Amino acid sequence: MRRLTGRRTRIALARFGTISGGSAVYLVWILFPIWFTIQSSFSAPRDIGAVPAPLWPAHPTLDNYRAVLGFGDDAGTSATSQVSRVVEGMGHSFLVSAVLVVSNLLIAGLCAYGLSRFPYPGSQSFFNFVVLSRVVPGLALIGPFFVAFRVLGVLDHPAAALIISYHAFTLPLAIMMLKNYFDQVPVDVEEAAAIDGASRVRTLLVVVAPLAVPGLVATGVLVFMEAWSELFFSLTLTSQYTVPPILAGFQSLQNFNWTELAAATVLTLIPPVVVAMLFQRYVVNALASGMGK
Amino acid sequence: MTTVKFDGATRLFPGAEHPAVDRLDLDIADGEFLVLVGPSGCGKSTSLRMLAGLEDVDDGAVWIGDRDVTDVPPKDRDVAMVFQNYALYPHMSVAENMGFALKIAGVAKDEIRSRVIHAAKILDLEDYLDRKPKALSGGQRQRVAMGRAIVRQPQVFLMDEPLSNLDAKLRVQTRSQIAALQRRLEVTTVYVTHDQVEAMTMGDRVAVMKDGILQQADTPSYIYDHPANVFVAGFIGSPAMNLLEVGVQGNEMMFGNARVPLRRETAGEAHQAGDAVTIGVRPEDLQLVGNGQGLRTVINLVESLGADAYVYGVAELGGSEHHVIARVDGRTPPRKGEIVELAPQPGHVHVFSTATGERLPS
Repeated sequence: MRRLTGRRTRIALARFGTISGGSAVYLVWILFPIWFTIQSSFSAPRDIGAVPAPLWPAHPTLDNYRAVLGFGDDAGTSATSQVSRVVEGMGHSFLVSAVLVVSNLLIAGLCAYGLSRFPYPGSQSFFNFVVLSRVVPGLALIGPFFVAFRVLGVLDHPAAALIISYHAFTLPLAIMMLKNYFDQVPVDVEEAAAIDGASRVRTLLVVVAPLAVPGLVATGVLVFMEAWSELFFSLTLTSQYTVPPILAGFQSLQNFNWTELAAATVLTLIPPVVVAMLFQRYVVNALASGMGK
Repeated sequence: MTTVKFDGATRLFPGAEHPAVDRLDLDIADGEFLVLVGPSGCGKSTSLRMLAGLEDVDDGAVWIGDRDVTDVPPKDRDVAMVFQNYALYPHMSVAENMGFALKIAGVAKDEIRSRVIHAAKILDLEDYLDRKPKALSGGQRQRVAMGRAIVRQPQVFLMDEPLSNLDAKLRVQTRSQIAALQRRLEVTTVYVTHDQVEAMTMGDRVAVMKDGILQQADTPSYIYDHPANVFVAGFIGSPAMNLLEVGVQGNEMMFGNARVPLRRETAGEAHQAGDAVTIGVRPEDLQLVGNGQGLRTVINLVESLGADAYVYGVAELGGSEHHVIARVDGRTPPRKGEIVELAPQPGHVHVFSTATGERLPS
């Protein structure tokens, strides 16, 4: 009996050790680059490149942030044109991402609801096709978009160009997520509303939409993240309109200021992190609990 | 308050070979409590949903009062429904759940409030009006679903297995509450269940369905005493009726060593159909008889209920083994392994055609 208990304890210990050890490795893997970027953003350029990389800035400074935010008194010594554009670019990124979230939730919400509640012959194939379109590489889409946008004059409106083109990869994601979500919302609540006298539209607004909030929020967060960090389309269709190509532009042939790039990167990390933290509980805490028996 | 009429109502699901509901004819009187009962897949829920407007009617018609509602959307039928898993609006409080239909109908707020409170009093829900469904127990949710139906004061109540998610004790308690409430409100009610005990105890009339076809619709006691066919005979009653294929000689059925008289026309029919009929005897109508006077049965289980005991045994009849259940005196039941002889009480025998399963005059 005692031997058995001892064996169980050893197994439990081994399991605990494996799980926590694995988690620790994973955390370091994920967090070290972020930490390295953060500490670089508070470092002076001359402290960069030390081996091994220091865990803490040797000479902590806010100069990088001053430069990126446009208060720097050393303007001119670094890649100034890039630096001053970071804040503006963040504004553009936010505009594009926000409009895209609203538009995606509207279009994908209606599409996914229809696919979930009113299946027709071939609707499953249509859904599969939508999901499959996610694997089309951006490289294959960018040419047609570029030509079409040039012909139509959309290239003169970078925000419009990005918002339109981003739908190509965010809509399938949103439709896929929302369809799966609607599939899990019991249909009898909607039937109850119909029997209670609610019209189809009213049911959609008063019953379905509130129940769909967690799914809509989760989808919106993901769409926001995708749009916020998109580099390739923005680089090709605009001249550094959003943040990712601006960050990429820090590394020019003549000039590369790693600490200011780090500061800019940290700044651009803030909005998605805030969004994720704000809405996490909505995503996790599904409103639908308590719907059944 | 109104009547309901199924007039040859048929539902054929796309891609299905047989209709889920096949030419259902059923008249439900004003204020009547009708129970639709049958095994799963028999079409009882589909029938109810056709009446609610949640399921299309492919053929025939459905009437509520003097209105043909076959193509009327659910929202315009003035029916209220209690769903199996209640289908409460999870984001609304109990009061909002119960008042939702009235709000949509444009009833004034004060009126809604007073009707909700009135219903909450009846259902003992006054203390929970501000709670969300997820903060309620199963029984309370069930009552909210009931409350949502009764504040409407609809023409018809529809209930789709409303008790199946409750535990056994609460189910029995709620069963009588619903029946009493219906009698008090006098609203025409169609109630779906797979539980024949619920059907027998609650319904003014019971409609038994199987494979989409209505088998029999009548009062519980009539169905119990005069089941229309073998299926109804076996479905209604617990423990189930003993149904045995027996030989016919002359005007008598051979129940083991017992000879049970048979009407002449029934006997004649049996002779044409291979000298056999199916005899149905309820457990309480079987009695222990002396040696050589009944069906030899080996007892393999005795269930003592105090006053009564049910004995389960195996009897050999016509070359094959049959399970037999009999109710006996609980004080002196036979023991397990004992061999007894059983015979039906005279006059308490049901006879069915072995070929068609239909009831024959006995």
